[in-house]
Amino acid sequence: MKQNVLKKYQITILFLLVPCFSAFQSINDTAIFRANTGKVSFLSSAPLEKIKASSTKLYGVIDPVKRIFNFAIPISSFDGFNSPLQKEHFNENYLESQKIPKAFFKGKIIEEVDLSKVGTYNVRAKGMLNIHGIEKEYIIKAKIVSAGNKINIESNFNIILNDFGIRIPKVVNQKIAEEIALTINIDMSIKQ
Amino acid sequence: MRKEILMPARIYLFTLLSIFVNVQFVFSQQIKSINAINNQRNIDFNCALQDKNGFIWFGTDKGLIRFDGEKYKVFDNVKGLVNSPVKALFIDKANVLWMGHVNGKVTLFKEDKFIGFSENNKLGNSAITSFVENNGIWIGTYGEGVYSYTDAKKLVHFNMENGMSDNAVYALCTDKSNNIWAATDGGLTHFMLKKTQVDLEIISMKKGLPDNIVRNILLAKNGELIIAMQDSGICAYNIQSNNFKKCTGWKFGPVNSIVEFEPQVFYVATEKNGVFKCVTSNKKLGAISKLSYTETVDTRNLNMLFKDREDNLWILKKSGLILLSQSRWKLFQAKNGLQADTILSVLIDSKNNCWIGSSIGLQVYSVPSVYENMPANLTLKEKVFDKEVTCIYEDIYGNIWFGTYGFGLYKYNPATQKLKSIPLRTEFENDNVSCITVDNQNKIWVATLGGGISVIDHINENEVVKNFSTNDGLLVNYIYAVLCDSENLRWVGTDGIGLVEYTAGIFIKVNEKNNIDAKSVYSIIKSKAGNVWFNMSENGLYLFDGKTISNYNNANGLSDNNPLSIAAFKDQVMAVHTTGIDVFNEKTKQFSYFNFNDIEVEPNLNACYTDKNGNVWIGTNKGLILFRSGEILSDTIAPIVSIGSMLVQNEEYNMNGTNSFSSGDNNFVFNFNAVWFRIGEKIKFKYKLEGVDKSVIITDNKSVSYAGLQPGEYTFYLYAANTEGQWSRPVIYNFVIQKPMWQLWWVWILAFVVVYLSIHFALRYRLNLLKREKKILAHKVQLRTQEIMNQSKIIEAKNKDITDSIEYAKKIQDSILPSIDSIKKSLPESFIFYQQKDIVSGDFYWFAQKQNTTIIAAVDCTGHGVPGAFMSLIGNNILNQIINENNITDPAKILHHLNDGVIKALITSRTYGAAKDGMDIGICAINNSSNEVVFAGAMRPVYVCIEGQLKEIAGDKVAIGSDLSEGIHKDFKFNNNKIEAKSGDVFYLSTDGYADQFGGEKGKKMMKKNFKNLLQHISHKAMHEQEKIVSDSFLEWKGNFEQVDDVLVIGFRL
Repeated sequence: MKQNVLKKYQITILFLLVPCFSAFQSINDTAIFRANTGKVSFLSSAPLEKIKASSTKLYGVIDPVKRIFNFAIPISSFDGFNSPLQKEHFNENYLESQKIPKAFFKGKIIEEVDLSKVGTYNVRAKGMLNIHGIEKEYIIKAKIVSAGNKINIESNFNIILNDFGIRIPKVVNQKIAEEIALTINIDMSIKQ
Repeated sequence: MRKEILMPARIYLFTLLSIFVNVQFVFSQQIKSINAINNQRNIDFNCALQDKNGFIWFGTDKGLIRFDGEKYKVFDNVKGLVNSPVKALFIDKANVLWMGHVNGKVTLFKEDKFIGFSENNKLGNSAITSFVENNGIWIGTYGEGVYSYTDAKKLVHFNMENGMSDNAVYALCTDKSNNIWAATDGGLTHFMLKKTQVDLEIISMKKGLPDNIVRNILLAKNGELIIAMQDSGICAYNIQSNNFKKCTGWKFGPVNSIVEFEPQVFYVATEKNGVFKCVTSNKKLGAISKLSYTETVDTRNLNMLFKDREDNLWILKKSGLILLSQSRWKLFQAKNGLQADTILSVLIDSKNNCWIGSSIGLQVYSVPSVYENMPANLTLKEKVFDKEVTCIYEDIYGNIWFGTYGFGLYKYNPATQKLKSIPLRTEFENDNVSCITVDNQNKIWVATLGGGISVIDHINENEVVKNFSTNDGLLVNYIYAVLCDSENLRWVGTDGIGLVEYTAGIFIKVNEKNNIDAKSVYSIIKSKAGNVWFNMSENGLYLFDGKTISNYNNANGLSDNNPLSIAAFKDQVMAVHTTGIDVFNEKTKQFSYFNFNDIEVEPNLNACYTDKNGNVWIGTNKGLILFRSGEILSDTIAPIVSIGSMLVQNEEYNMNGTNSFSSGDNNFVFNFNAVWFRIGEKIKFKYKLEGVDKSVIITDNKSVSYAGLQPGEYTFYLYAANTEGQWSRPVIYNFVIQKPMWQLWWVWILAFVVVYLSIHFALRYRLNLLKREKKILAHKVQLRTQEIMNQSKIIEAKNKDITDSIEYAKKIQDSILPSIDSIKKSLPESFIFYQQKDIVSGDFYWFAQKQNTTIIAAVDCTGHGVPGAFMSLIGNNILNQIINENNITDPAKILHHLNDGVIKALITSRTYGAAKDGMDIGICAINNSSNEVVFAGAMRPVYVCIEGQLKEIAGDKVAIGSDLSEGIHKDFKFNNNKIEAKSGDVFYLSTDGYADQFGGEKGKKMMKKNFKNLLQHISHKAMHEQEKIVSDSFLEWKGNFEQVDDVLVIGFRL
């Protein structure tokens, strides 16, 4: 008799738990931030020339639970060079955008932050930055401002062209910096 | 409350500020020994460890490198590694070297062989970053968490799925509770090892960790975990209290490596900003200061710090290696604040100011009062004088006296900053001051180069108490040094006269007194032991103990024979030369050596000062050297010595093999190896081969050879000493050279036993063989005996038969012989001596009386015995036929017919002429009426004795039986010999048996001559006497000799 009662309770609890698991699963699926607009700017400060360019084609996702992310940007989408020829050199000679059309950054957020909570978070994103087909581990500091279902990410960091196999001809040594400053600004939101 | 929060912040601010103030440690760069590696290729050094032999193993992108301080060896995948790039190294309790590779695989170096880890196929592809050992080996990977390879050889995998903070593991360490800690991108993972399980705990920023990216972790000697982080520097974590000692305000970037140099003192390597020193206390992290070393060294991209057993600091970089040794000395130059590099004199005054007399004058510098670390710079406080200052002295009032080169003596009062020139007023007016000292009466002694010595009153400095020059008994006016000791003796270092002692108003030449060549003495000091030490040009260091002078030079420990300055502190006497400092310990009588690495300086005359802490300040032509002598021998570490290799009979021998050698392997070479990274090339060795070397031999050579070692047991001892005189523990190698077989007692015994047994068994075998042969022989003898006996019986029987036959034949023969009586009838005086050799005879006599003629013959048939007997029968028969039947009495004819008859008789039975069968015969036909005797002979004569004279009448020389039809006797006819005899004449017929008989004294034949003499001698005697004499003579002659032939002698008298 007692055993029968226990069995009934067990079955009841099981039924109550099933919707809970389903709900958790659906939140997990949907709680992914996707980029609405993502802007990447870079600045090369060489002694003889400053070169600025930017792109708004940055796209990517962040899983706030696992704190993993994946971003990409088409190289050819950068604009704003000092001349059209410079953009041509950028795409054809240095970044070889036809052969390697995109740059990626894939990794994880080190800090244990809950981006679904409203607040401002200074985090470090550690991952593999892939530019010009060459992958290198980077830890990039970023500021994330969360409004719950929307976040804004700002980050400034430098990369060394040599790390990615981008060789600067000696002739333009004084015009292109070895170290390039990158600025990122992304708006992301949770999309169903 | 707010105040409490602010206070620590101030401390941290102070800490941060201190980074820029206190920036010098006791290291100096010591790159020389590692240039061998750095120069070869652009190597990325990832990790390092030191094994029990002192060798340092480096994990690099090119493979594994083993370095012994002099040579290095690279091992890569070609030489057996699973993968060339090595990221992690570890030596486990079983002395197995573990190598972790970039490709996530592991190689083991075990018993001099590289082997792949048995579980490599279960490991992932992420780089191996670290190993620790606890109930097996723990393997950290950069991307796949941690693997635990248990003692039960089971591989267990830990990652984020089963509780780790992150899969990217930078480092592992074991705490004092034997739990494992992993430094990851998600903080620390604490592996709590239980009996049956491992519980995982994450220590991250949520629990107070300053930074989740933990790049390294180290268990400090006090049990705390020292954590190196990405952006927060380092922190100390107390495992029991869960408290963190943090380092706020860190802005030097990621920390890659930590090493605990001494308790609570750490060095940390940053990725981009070099190496920092950090001191922890019980409550906080203390001062943090940057390690400064030669500025030319690229301090970026540091991978790892490693401290070896000598407390050298190894900095492993992405493109090379730096070795920093603790140094006892530092060279201050213009860049360290000095006003000039040529320093002529130094003084640290009672207020801890550093007075430096240089080529441009006298300056005062401030010096840190505590010399825990070498000061980085000397800070200039004041410039006092602007001419060359050669010597400085502080009197008891704090006044500074200094001598110049060319400008005389000065006195400076630091309090009033008054400078006063002190006139020496010597008769030579010499202003080149070389040395200032004071005696125990507070009189200042001033030595000059050319003006002798002036003694000045301390108070009334204008009063020269005494001048010493050659006029005052001073032996030379050119004085380099003067010393007034506590016993009120004055010692003078002169130019060319050597050391001079001034006592009781007299200058004594110490050199001359001790029979030592006098040269220039540049410096004099008195040691704690009361010995006066001085250096004499190019002759090394001298010690005068008041009685005798001892010399120290290259031969007995001094590294350079030309020390330019000397100093003393406690038991140590220091001699400074161009490349370093020799330190002699008066207690141990040992020299230590400290070199200036590759810097070559020229210490200036008497520009050496020892302060109260034992720091020696040395003025040189390249700046000021500060040498810490106070801690000598207290912190030195002896080298690790080993026998690098051993050659036996010129071939390298594996020393792990047997240490027993045959007597032929008796030529040995030992090559030494000692690991001491500081000044590896100056290592000394000490060795002794017990049984050969009578005493320990000290050498700079790195090998020793022993040739022709005798059989026996040997023990080789090898020690090594560093330049500071610290001898290592010995490495001992025992080996045995076996005696040759012939020298072994048991071989002798064995050989004896073998020989004995061999002989024994050989004899026994031989004996048995003989016995067997004897038995066989006996058997054979028995058989033969039996056979012989049988044969004997047969022979006996046959012999009996033959004898019987012969006896019977004798009867027959006897029957055919004429009877003596019948002969006596015809020849009354006659005898016949007839003695056959055998039973029957080949000789016979024949007789017939035919009417008036008596025929008598002596016949000797061929052979004797039975054959002769048969022949005699033939002869007898034929004679009977010829004479009796055919009545032929003529002797010649008889012989002719006899010859024919014999031939006829024998031709039927054999080939004629094949044998000389026949007979010799002498036959006489006696005419009884006329006494005419006709004789015919075939090979036999007749002896006739007429009137007492014996005459031989020879017969024909043809025997009966000869072929007369052909050949040499063809047509031969026997001849008659007619003898006209008278009555009384005696005739003798005989066969050859008598004359041919051996005998007499000499065993010779009797010969015909003797026979004839006998007949001559007896011929007159009666015939029966003659018979007896002939018979006796024969027997006497024959004696014991055997009768050789039948004997027949017929004698008759007419």
